[in-house]
Amino acid sequence: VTGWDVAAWVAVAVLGPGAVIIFVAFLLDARRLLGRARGGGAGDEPRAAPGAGPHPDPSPEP
Amino acid sequence: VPVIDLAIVVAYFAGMLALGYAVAGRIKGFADFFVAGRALTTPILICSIVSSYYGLDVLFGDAGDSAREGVVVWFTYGRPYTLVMLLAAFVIVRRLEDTRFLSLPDILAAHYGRPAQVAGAVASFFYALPIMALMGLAALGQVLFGLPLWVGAVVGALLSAVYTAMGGFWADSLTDTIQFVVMCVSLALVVPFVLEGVGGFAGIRETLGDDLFAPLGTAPFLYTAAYALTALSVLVEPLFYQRIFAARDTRVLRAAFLWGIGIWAAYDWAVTTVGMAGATLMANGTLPADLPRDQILLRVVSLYLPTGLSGFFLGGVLATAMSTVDSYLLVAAGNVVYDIYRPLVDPRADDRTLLRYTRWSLLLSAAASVVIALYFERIKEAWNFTATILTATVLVPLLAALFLPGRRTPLAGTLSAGGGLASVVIFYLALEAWGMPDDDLETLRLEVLGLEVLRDYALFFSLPVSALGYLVGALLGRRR
Repeated sequence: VTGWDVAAWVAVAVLGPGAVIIFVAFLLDARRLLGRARGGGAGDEPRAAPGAGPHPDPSPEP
Repeated sequence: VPVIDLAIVVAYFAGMLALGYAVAGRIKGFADFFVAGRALTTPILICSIVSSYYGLDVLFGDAGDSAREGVVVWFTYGRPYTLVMLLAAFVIVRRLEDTRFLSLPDILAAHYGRPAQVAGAVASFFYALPIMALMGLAALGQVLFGLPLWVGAVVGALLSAVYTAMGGFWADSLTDTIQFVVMCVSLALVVPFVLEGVGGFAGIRETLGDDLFAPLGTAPFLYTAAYALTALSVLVEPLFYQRIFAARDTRVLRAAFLWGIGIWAAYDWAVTTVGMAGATLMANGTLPADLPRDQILLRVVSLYLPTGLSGFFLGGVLATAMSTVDSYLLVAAGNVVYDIYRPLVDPRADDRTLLRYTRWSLLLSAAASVVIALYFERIKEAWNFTATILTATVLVPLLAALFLPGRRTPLAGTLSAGGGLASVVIFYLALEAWGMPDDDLETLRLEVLGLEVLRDYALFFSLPVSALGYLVGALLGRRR
C-alpha cells in the first residue's frame, strides 16, 4: 500500500461517512433552520426593498 | 439500463420536484426567494456550496485530464483553488460582513453605479447559463437510455427550472443537500472497487510509469501558471456570493467554506484516482485505447460497480449535474431581473414584481441554455472561457471596491469592467483568427514579436488592461 492509496482511502472516508455526517447535522439543524424561515427569524426581518436605496458601504472608513 | 436503476432515477426526479413544491409556501418576498431570507446555517451551506460548484466538468473532465496528465491535476491545477477559497473565506467574507447585498453585480452598483453593474451582470449571466452541464445531461440520456440529445437537455433543464421557480433558493439549497450526499457517497463507493480492480496505485504505476506521478506535471511553466491563475475566478464566482449573502452570519459561512475545502480536496483525489485507473485500463487493453477522455469515468464505473450500485452512481451523476444546473439558472435569472431589468427599466419594481419576473426568467434562462447547448457548436466551444470573461470583467473593480476606499469613481468601474471585457474578447478573436492549433496542449498558439502566446494566457493580458482602466478612471473620473 502506497501513500497514494492511503490518500484515496482518506478521500473515501471524507466523501462517504463524512458526507453522511454533514447530512445528519443538516437534519438535526433543519427544524431550527426552517422554523427561522417560517416566522420570527431572519427570513421575515424587514429589509430594504431591493433598489430602494443605497446599500451600506462595506469598505472601512478611510 | 436495468429497471431498478431506472426506478432510482425516476424516484430521484420526483423527489426533487416534491421538495420544490413543499418549500414554495415559504417564499414571502424576493430576499426569501433569492437568498433564502439570509437564514442558512453551516450544514446546509456546506452541501449547497460543494454540490453547486462541482459539476460534470469536474467529474468527467478532471477524470479525463487525470488519465492523460496524472496527479498534476490534483496538485497544480486543483490546489490553487484551495488557496483562493481560503482567501475568500477569511478576507472577502469579512469585508462583506453586515452588508445587505443580494448579488455580485449589486456590489458593483453600490460602488460604481449602473454601467459597471450591468457589465458585471451581463458577464455573470453568460457565465451562469449551465450549457456544459446540460450537454453532459444530454449525452448521459443518449448513452444510457438511447434518448435523442434534446430530450436529456430539456428534461434536466425543465425539472431544475420548475422546482427552483417554485421554491427559489430554499428549493435549490434543500435539493442541494440530497444531491450533495448522493454525489459524494456514490463517488466514495466507486473508489475501492476501482483500486481493487487495477491493483492499487502500485498497479497503476507499474502500467503507466512514473510520468503521471509528477505533482508539477511536464507542461511549460507559463501554461501551468495560466491554468493556476484561473483559480482567481473563485473571487468572482456568483454562486459563492449568493451563498455569502444567504448565510445567517460570518461564522457559519466561514465554517462552511473550510469544510467545503476539505470535501473538494477529497472529491478531486477520488476523481484523479478513477481517472488514472482508467488510463491503466486503457493501457492494458481492458478499455479501448481511443476512448474519449470525458467517457473514461463512466466506463470505469460500469466495469466495476454491480447493478443497483451502478444505478445509485447514476443518481450521483444526475445529482452532480442538476445541483449545478439549478443553482446557476437561479443566478442567471437573478442577473436578468434584479441586476439588469430593475436598474435599467423599472427602478421602482416592488418585491412581487421582481419575484414574478425572476420565476419567468428562470424558465427563459433554461430555454436559452438548452438552445445554445444543442444548436450552437461554435458558441459551445467558447463557453469554457466564460469564466475568463467574468474574471477579466469583474475581478479588478470588485477587489478595488472592497479594498481600495477613496479610489472609487463610476468611470473607474466602467473603464475597468469594460476594458477587461473588451480585451478578453479581442484576445480570443485574435487567437481564433490567426492562431495555430497546438495538439499537445489542445489549445491555440500565436507568435507575437517572437513571443509564444497561448489562448490560455488571456488573463495575463486582460487583468492588466482592466487595472489600467481602473487607474485611468480613478484619476480622471469624479467620485459619486
